[in-house]
Amino acid sequence: MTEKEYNDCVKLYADNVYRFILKNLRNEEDAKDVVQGTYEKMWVNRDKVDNDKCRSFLFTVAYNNMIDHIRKNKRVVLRDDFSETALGSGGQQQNAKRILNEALSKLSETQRSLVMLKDYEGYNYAEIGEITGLNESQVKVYLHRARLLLREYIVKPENVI
Amino acid sequence: MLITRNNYETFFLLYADNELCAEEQLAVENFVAENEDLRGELDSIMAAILPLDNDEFCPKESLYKNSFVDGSLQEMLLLKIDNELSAEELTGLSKTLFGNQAAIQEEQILLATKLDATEALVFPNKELLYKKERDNVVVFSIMRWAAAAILIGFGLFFGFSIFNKNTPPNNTVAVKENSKPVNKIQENIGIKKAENVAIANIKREVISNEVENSVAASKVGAVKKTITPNVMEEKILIEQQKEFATNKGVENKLTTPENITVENSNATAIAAVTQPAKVQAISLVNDNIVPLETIYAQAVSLTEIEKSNNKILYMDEEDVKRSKVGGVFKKFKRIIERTAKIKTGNPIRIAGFQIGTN
Repeated sequence: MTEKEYNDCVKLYADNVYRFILKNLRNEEDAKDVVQGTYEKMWVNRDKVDNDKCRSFLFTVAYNNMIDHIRKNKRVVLRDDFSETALGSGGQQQNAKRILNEALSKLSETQRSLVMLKDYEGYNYAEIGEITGLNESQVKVYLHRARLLLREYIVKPENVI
Repeated sequence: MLITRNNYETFFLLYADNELCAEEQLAVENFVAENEDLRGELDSIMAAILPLDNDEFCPKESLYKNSFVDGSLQEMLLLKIDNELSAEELTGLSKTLFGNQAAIQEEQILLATKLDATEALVFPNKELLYKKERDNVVVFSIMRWAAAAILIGFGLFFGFSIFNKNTPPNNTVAVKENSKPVNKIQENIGIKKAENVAIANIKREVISNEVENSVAASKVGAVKKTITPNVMEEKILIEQQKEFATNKGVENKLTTPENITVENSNATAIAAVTQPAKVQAISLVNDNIVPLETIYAQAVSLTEIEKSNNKILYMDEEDVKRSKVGGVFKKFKRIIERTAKIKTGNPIRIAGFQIGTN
């Protein structure tokens, strides 16, 4: 990977990695640190990284860094204003989106990561498995469980969309 | 049945368990009203009965079975949301969903759980992530530069010295090394001088012979007087030159009628008597020497070519004086050839380097 290819990776995927980490950690500063650490690692290993697989490499490193970060700090600080400001919508949050974000916060880190990798990044089960270190069947089962949990949350009478 | 103070406990327990008929229950209640001291006992028995809780099984929905959306259909819907179904499976699912309102509703709910991929979060200060490679400049210290300059200097010196040893100078006569222990350059200069002077001398002698036969004998005599001291010195040189020329077979060339004719024609002009004219004549003779030298050198070169035709292409290593550096290289080459078992075959050799042809 050349310097130009690396900088193109920053331009193309930095926001996606940041969204993925921020939605998991729900702390902007921690998310920034994780993203910076991820890109730093990519820069150091740029000779070994194939440009075609740089996106997958970024998410793998970011996911592992995030898990390390959670284990180290043993805390996920829930910010009350997260859904209002950090999402960057700039307007009134839609009710459905708010409920869904609340539901997402009820999931475990792994389940949340799987849902986000699937819905935001569009990876298939095998690719998600490579990123998270799970096999394809595990990804499928965990993802379906997560999806049903989200479903149960949003169909509660108090959360009816 | 009559309730008395002896059997009231049995009736109280049956009352608490709701096992009495309406008449009996009324009879128990009347008995307590008549005997107020036993009311406390009935209340304690009633308190021992567990209350009816309103706790419900929370995820009760998961236990309900919907005949329209069973487990396999739900999994298919989940796979559809995840874009993990093949085209064939999608077609089959569409057929299954057709007219199944419960399944369509379930699909809508599941679709609502899908996150919006267009939702953007921008990483601030992206400049922090951009990188620029540092140029791979090797910083040489002064000592390194100096060492490099010395090495280059030595390399050039040895290169030139080897090159000068191996290439004979152009337009010079090859001389046998064992002929005289004199410096080659000085010898060459001496030979050139000797040649010039010898030809000039021959010329003068021819002139003097003519002059003796001519009427202007006295004038020539004067000329001879002026020439004599130089001629004595030059004669010694010409002896040496003749000796050398005999070896190389040049003598015949020098005494060819053609040369003499040329000299005679010039000499005629010189015989016109004055010293400056003679000097001019000598210079003219010297001009005629140049082609002689060329022929002379060519003759020598041809003998070398005849000796070894290969020398046209390369320097014969055996004849060239070996330098120490050359020896080291040769040893190094032999060691490599032995260790690697390289068979060189018939190599092409160019300027001391050889290229294997096999």
